Amino acid sequence: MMDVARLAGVSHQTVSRVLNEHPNVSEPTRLKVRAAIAELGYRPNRTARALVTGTSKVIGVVAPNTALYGPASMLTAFEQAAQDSGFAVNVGSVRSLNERSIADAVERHLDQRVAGLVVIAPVASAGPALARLPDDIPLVTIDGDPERASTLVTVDQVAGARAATEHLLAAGHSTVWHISGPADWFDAAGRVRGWEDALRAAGAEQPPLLTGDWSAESGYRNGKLLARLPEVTAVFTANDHIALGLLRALSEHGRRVPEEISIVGFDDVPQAAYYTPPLTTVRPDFDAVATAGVELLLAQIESGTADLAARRTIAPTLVTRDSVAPPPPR
Amino acid sequence: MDTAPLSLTLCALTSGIVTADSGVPLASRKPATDGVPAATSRPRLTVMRDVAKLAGVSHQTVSRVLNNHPNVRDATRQRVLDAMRSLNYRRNLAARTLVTRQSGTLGIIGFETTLFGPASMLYGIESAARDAGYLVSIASVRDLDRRQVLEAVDRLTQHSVDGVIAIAPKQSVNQALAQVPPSLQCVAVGGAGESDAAPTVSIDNAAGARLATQHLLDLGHATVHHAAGPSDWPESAERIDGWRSTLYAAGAVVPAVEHGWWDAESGYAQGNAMAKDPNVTAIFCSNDRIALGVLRALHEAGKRVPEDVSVVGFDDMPDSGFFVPPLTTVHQDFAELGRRSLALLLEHMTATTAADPQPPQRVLLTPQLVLRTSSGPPPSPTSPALPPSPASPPAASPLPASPSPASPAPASLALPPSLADRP
Repeated sequence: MMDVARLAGVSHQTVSRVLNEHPNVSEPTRLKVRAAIAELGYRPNRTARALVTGTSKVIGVVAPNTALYGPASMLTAFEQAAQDSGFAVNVGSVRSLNERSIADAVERHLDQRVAGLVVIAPVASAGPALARLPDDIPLVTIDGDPERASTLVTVDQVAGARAATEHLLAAGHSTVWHISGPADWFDAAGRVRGWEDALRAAGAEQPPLLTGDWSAESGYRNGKLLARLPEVTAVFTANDHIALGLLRALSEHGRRVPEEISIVGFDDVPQAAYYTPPLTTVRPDFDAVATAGVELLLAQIESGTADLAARRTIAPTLVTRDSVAPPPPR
Repeated sequence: MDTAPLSLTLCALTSGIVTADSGVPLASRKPATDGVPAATSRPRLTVMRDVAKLAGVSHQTVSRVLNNHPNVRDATRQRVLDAMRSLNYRRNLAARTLVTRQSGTLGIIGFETTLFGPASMLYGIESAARDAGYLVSIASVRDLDRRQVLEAVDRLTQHSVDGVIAIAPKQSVNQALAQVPPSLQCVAVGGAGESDAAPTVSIDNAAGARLATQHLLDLGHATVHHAAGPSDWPESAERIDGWRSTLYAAGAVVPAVEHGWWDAESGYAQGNAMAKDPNVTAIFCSNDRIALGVLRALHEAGKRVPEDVSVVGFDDMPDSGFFVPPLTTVHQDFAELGRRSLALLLEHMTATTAADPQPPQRVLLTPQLVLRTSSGPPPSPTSPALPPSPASPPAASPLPASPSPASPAPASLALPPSLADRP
């Protein structure tokens, strides 16, 4: 803080006043101090930060800006769980999930002195942004990097994908194809791993991985390829939107589901039961994820210490409908 | 002791001008300015007067254009929009409110935010707010009764929000907003209702329904059936009004309406009943999820879409171009809705202190029809009904209409030889 005071040409006390939003500081002085803070990359110490966060009953949430069912459901579930615990939720959404926009959203929350942060950080690029955070900020990561030491709540993507793949193998398919989500999403990577695990355990040949981007359009695009390959009898898609696009491509090519090709999705969007045919899929429990996230965050806020080993993994369930059948006789 | 409101207020006075960490003026903050020390002089922010001057119009005309007021000539509107663009006016909208600004945080009251419409509105408002330099605080309510809405307003007030945007699909919300003290400006988005309690920004649901219904009548259908949403949501009621008035105007029979929820399950139930009725050749659905359920019910009943029955939705979800068949629907621009609602809120917040003209109470956005392949002419009366064949693939649409850019190409691709001759 002394360095900041020296650079700004003000007293120690003035810096402290600026940090604590004291009213008796003139605007030019405040700007000078802020500039010095920015130049030095200064972070207030723990006590200063506690002063700032101590009285706030606001949780800051950083979430991807998308009406995709998964992220939107997660945010809503989180807001309700926080509200039940007497906390308000400020949302800073990020349009592109890159390091800078995530860091910006985090900064905006810290400027508002939130009591704690929840970062829905499904992509690898979130890592560096979170690594720069001071360790005295209560923080819970949702769907973040399983390898990183942080308080993390995540859907067990691997187990869900394994269950989906095993379900298709158990129906008699010799192997299962997969249309994944974007490669830099942990959700997508976990689902790829579960699919690979299940194939390996069954001694099944692993077909080439097809990559989508969570959209129905990407399912449609990949589906136009799969529809032309007579050997394809079973496909696990990384989410239900992709499954919908795949269904449409197969329908265009006259390939019947499930008579010729079986499909399992992931997410259980509310309308999945009304796809043609109704979709067998994996249902993550977003409410359980949100409740666990709030619990872990409140524990940190109360104790004042972060438990980096705290981790909750929420097991998804397989919902069977009409999109899976035995393969057609050869 | 709770010092939060005081310190929040003070924080906003600084953070409204400079972002605390970069020291860069808000209006020129760009992602690439990390660590740049405070600028010594800030460019003067564009105000509405600058736009008016450049466009050669009055202050009031600019305000009208901003709020989509009908009484502005197209040429004038274009001139004002061009002036705004060249002055980068929208980014600086927040700057106008600096004088009245308190916390830099806006409240959003959300309801049913996992539904596509409300979720899209939420993100639309949040994006617009962020572009204007605001954070948003969300208070969601499980029911839209007056008490819960007022409690949500109360929670937001405790967190010193400067204004509130309510995603307000019910009349009760407008009534609740009427009880909020005038010091806290509220804007309702989505549900218009008739109450003038709070300024409202909404999609012109009736106009959208008229477009959909008229499209089906123009294709030659004798009348159009309707799969409705819940009876107590203005969105649903307005879509019914638009549908009904179009049928009246055409002298067509107005079929009875069953109400449902906004989901595929409800569409499936309504679709099952309609599939049994041979007079049903065209169905307008109150949203795309209802349409999905209707499509499923028709498929199970062996009815082909659009050869036997045409289906039109409302919303234009990203998925809707991939239904079987791709859905003709009414597109709502939720990003625009978010920007308009924020603009209207800020206008009302500033109008209380400045000698500005009173901003409008109601902004209506016009939706657009997106033509895909689920709508076509009715079956000719002479052709015999086909037996149910649920397993047969849907045939390509007879509609020569070009698909919208978002929709996949119609099913006109030739099968590869290996598949074309499969049993």
